[in-house]
Amino acid sequence: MDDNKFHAIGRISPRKEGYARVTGRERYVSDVSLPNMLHARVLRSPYPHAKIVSIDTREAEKLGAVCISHHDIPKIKYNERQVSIPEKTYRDRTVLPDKVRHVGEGVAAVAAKTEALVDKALKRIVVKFEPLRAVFDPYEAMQEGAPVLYEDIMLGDKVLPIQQNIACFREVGEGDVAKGFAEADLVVENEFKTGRVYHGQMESKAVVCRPEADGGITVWPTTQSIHNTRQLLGRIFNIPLSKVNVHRVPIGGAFGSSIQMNTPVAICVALALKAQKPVKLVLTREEDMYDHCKYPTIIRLKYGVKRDGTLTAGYLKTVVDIGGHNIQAYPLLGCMAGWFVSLYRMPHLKFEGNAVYTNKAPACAMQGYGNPQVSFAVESQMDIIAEKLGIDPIDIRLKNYVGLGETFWGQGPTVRSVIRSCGVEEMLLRGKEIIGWEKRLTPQLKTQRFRRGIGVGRGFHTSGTGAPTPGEVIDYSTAMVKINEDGSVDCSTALMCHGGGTLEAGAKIVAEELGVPLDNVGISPSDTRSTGYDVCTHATRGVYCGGASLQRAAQKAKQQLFEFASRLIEVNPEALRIYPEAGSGQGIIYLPGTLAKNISIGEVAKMAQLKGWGTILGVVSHRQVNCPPCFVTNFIEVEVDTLTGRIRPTRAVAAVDAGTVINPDLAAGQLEGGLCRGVGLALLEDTDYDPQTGELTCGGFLTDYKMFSAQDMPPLEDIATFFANTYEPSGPFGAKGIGEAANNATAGAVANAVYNAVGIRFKAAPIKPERVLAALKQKSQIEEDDHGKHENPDTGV
Amino acid sequence: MVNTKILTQEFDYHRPASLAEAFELLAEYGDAAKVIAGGTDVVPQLKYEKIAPNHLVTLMKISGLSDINEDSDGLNIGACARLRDAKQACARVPGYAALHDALRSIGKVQVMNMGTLGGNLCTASPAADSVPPLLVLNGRVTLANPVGSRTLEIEDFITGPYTAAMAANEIMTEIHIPPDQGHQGSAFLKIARVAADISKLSCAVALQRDADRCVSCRIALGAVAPVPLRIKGAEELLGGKKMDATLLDEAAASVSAGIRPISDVRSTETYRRQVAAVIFKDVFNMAWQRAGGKR
Amino acid sequence: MQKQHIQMRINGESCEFWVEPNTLLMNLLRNEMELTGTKYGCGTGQCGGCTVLVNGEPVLSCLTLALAVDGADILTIEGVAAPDGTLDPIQEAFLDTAAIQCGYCTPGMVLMAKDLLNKNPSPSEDQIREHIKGNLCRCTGYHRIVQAIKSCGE
Repeated sequence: MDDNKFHAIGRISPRKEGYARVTGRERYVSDVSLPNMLHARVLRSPYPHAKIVSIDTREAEKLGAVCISHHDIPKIKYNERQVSIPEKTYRDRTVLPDKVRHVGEGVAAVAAKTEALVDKALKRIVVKFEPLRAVFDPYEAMQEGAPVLYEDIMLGDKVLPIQQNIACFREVGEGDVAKGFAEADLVVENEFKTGRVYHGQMESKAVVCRPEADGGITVWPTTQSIHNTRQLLGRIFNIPLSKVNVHRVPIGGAFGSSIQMNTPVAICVALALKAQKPVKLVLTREEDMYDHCKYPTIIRLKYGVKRDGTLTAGYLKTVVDIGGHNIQAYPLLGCMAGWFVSLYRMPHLKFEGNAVYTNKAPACAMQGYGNPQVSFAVESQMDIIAEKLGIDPIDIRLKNYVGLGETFWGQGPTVRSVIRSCGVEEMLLRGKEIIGWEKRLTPQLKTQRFRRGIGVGRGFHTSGTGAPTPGEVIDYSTAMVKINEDGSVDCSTALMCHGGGTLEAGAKIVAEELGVPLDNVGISPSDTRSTGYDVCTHATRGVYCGGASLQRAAQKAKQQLFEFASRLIEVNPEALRIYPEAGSGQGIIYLPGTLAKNISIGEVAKMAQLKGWGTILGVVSHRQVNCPPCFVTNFIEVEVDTLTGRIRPTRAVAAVDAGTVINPDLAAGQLEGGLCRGVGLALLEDTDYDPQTGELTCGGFLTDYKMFSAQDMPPLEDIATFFANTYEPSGPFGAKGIGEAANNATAGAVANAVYNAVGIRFKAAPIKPERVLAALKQKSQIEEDDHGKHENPDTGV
Repeated sequence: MVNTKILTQEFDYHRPASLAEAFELLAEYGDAAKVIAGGTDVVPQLKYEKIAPNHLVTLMKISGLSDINEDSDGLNIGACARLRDAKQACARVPGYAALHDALRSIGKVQVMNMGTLGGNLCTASPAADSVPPLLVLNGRVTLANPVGSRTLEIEDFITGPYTAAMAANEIMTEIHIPPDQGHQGSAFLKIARVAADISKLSCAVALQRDADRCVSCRIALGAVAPVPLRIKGAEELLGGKKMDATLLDEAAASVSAGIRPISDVRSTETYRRQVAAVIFKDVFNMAWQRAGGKR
Repeated sequence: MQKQHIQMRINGESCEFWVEPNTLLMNLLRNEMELTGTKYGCGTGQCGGCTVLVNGEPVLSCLTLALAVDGADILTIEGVAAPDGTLDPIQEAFLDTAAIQCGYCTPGMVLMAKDLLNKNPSPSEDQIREHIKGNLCRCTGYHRIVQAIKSCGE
């Protein structure tokens, strides 16, 4: 006997895509193959900063290859991410450049019959570069006399001069921070850093494009938005959208790296149009690592706080090193302000952010979009404050968190709403029991070689980017729900699934709304010609926004269904209900209170067809007017080997408040995966550049970009996940999102755990053994010298 | 940029059925030929365009080269024996634990199934995990040539980073490890970033123990010098002595002083130097315990 | 470059090819045989996505020359389920445990699990983690994959 009143929502059911994936039959982009298809590859810059003087492709063409360079492609300047409104879209790129701004930037491209021939042809292209001075550090980039990456770019339809390599800047404030700090009993200020992490999605970016006889194109890309890809391609290549068809293809992991149209896509289209044959372009792993990375941050965080732990003011100043292109730095800064403001209450606040160009791989959103970075700083600082004031870290969080009934900023300062569901307290209190918080010892009491520590971190993410008024970003989803003549259901949406079960959830929402057994609800294949616009599957909006539009489409279909049913069984449509009948696999429409009046959905649909009444369907474009926070809490225990500086996670608790949990097992899987990536961010992952060559020190190879393996993670019994008991009134069946929340609080929790283990505060992630050992040695030296006076030996380098 | 998705380099591939045939091919093609065994080093090198042979000569079809046998003289591992089989052979002999630990730590099952011990040695990476144990276990290699063969101590075989003292017309046929002499304990540990990874540093120790006396001791470290290195200074400190914590610390300091680490993409010179001392003690203690009881 | 003739059994089916020496097994399977379940994830032996079984043993097909497996018996992910589509218990376990997110690492993981359970019908959790440590997964944190494999133990 369970208390789940839903028949589909919250139930564990076999994944619809699971069968194909577990048998190797799922086709990803790199598995797509078309007749007469050519293969392609991109010639990439060996220089971090250089003018392209000339490109000679004649020798390559002699081999029978089709070649393109910037001369062959319309010089439309665009931003590959199409989520922001044009006035807020910073445009600094063309399909292929006449100036390269990072090692690995594409310069020319080649298509030929075989991959071997492509490579031969590529090697015969002669490019003359004029190397320019390059800059790799954001502070150096902002100095006078630094190499200039851009004289100007386009913002909307205006030319925007770029000064000091600052791609964009954002400043937000409320109240009077000077006053707020003056009122404080204690002011704490620290600088934190997070690394230049690589997304590490298992599938490298890829695309197949077929040119059509009518001048159109069909495209199979790795993407998180088929419609944005379509619109951008239509614009760049001047093809009407009705002739541009972009297919939804399962993607082998995204984590934000395909929000923007991936760089190979337009290149491949250009090749296909020139060759007039289908072209396939798959990045190698190394090319992929040079293609995109997470936004690294330097965050200066200042809090004023009263003796009782109440925050009086907060000031966050950040420098974000965005690499060679501005993909979504402006909304990032706005979001970082939003995360900062919505974690803990501050009567007075100020945020300043600078995004700076450097000659490195362009940064783009990666799970959390500034939230893991801000939360790393904030959660670390809260613990620092708690210790100084002698308050328990959990208590200080309970005292200050922005919660139920309070105003919270969505993805930035222009979108505000009131929190209507919140499980923060529940998660902190239950989580602390599970991890054994009360049994924590202070670091001073730990003297053995291997020391364990427990840390807490909390955070949230917005469920999408909805708002009641049009804003800086577009957010809505179109869905169609159609009832087939046998009572099964087709759901059509341009939503993507990255693996977390977004489309599963959509099917469950429709099944629940229509009272149809889940088995009979199908998610249709989707492309841009047969679906209405969905902005993108990002920003943790899949379930909350995309699912909501599916629900409303189902509601519309249901209305029509009841109307037709009422013609057949002569009952007022408003009185009708549906329940799922597992045996027949049908939704049964009935009149409560009597057995006499019922009819299956299939019967109604069939009669509607026979009588010529029409197809029963609902089509909806829906914008959520809110983006409620899905909260997350992590408790992490680490073990530090004080003789080698090595840190490993030993136990973890991850809890999320996602409202109604639609796919419990997949949601738990999100938490487990988020923990792994979060610990990676905290302890392991970064990409460094050689200051002489501008090359990645790891070369782009996974040999030296390490991610955790199964043997690095804690045992099964030492990871616990749970969900808060909440219900979000504005979400489909009470659901919120989870995706990015799963990752946001982890790094801060790890840093806090390390402090609890060894009494050293590390403010720069990744916290690698080399630094840990140096800090431990320095600390023991300081303790010898000062007889235990606490100085923080880690300078955060 | 190199292409890791396909092999762009072109070569002919030869599958000699005997050593004699292999020598003929090497003689015919000279510098343009490269020998390949499991491929786990050669194929990446081809992809990275570090080598560009016109002819690959596989040794994997030559019978006898993958045999493993044990006799009173010790353990003989064919150069083309898979790492997996070499590991299993070492598992049977307690004194060879260092080599067993090292092979186990090399990482992935897949690589254990493909790679060969001979290949690992001939690649001669400064970080090769199999070498420190072979150094402390007095391993020897047999190199065949068209007219005969010669044996070399491992120490003399690896002469520089990725450099083996092997002529172009020589093929490694066997690795030999002398028998366990009783009361022999050995151990190996590596430090890496994640579980299946190239070492930041590694250490192997093999010792003979008599109650609380260290009769003799051999110590080798990997990834902390241009070649995997025996630390003879530390060995001499410990040889013949009654063991205690102070002595072990002295030996550890000697290890730290005796290595020549660099800073690279994986770690720093300082870290390697400091942690070498720590890992050496961990490994020594493991070997000591295995040689017959607790310290 | 001289093409050579090779033959092998792939998922029980006898096949023969004329291949250039620089053909990688991964690409032979994906292109000539259209068995795209075996994935290119890194090409340098780091991610395990290209894992196939050669004569019953897992290898990295991105580092294996096709010529080197002449005469061998190859099993790819497509050959794990029965010809009539009935799933192997390992595959069922992956589905039941929700051990699949994006699915890109799944073929490699399933084959490694199959190898482990063939050799050790009741592996401990440590043994499972040791066995799959060469297979990267970016989505799941490995938690449910380990659970799935454990549930297949006797």
